[in-house]
Amino acid sequence: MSSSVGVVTATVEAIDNASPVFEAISGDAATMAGNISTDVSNMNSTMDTTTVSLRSISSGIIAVGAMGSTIASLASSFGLVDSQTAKYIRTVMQMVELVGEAMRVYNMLTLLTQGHAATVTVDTTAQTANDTAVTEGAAAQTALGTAVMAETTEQTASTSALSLSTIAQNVWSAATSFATSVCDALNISYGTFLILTGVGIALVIAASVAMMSFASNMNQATSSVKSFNSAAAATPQRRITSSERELRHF
Amino acid sequence: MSVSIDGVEELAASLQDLDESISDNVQEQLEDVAQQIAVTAKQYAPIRTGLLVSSISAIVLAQWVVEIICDVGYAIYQEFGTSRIAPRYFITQALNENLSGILDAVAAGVTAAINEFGG
Repeated sequence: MSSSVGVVTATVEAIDNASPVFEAISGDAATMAGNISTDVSNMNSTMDTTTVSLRSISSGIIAVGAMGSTIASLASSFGLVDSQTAKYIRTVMQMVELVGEAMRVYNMLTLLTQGHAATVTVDTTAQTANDTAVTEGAAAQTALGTAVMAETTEQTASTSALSLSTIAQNVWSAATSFATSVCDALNISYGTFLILTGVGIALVIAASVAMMSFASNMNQATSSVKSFNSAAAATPQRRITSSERELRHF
Repeated sequence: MSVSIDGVEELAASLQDLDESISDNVQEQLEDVAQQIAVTAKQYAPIRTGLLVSSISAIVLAQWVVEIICDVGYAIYQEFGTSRIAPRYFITQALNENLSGILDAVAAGVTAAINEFGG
């Protein structure tokens, strides 16, 4: 209240909870970008050591580069996950993480699917070699054995791809449904959600949190005024005593 | 295969711009609503010499912190009353009347920032 006796002041203060969230998003986005680069690097290493030469499909995999903007959005989405300013934010962030994870699974699925196609090509080549080998004699049997092994590897990759596809479909379905409900709640389009996920959601939620804090403070302020009034009402009033009255007359 | 992630710096810059825009817009809105509260308080304030009313003003204490002040020594007795003076609650009433306006002001500030930087 006042710094001078008798002066009445009322302070209105809004709490800025948005700024820390924005800072966290920026930091986490940078971290996530680094992590994705690391993941891709690890993926490259795995591919290099794969028996089936996935290098032959590198031209197809390059198409994955087209998802650069998606991954950038993913980075910001994952950045949001770490911001723990409010339960509401965390809920939305889990959804964002879900979307991001689905994208990640889809990306992996794309790789495996293309890998599958590549191994089919390799297998076809092996079969051709096999046919040739059968014609040419027993020495070609070794090539046939190799081709069979390639076939087994390809089948395994195919099965993994199908399994991942099912998982990805389920995750994606759940994420899309949840994202749609959030879009409806926030009155934004799904496209806006996807494009501005990192910024838009954080902004709206952070703003809501800021306002909630603000409202809470105001409630406290109002409550404090009421408490003051109650205390003031309960305080015994000072009355002029008879001696003081006599003194005044004197 | 390589994947390049770009735009992180731009994202950080955009967020910073957004943050600053929110700060500025909300501050501006809060100052406006504080002035409105002061005007409302003057309407409820008792008038005898006019000193009390003229001492009511709104000031900015800090970022997102504004104050409505009635800067005369007997203001508290007019506000909350004494044994001989009925409470007028001119500041309290002004605050209560403008509570929703304060929230609207914050929302308006944030919305303006969203329109400016959030698309």
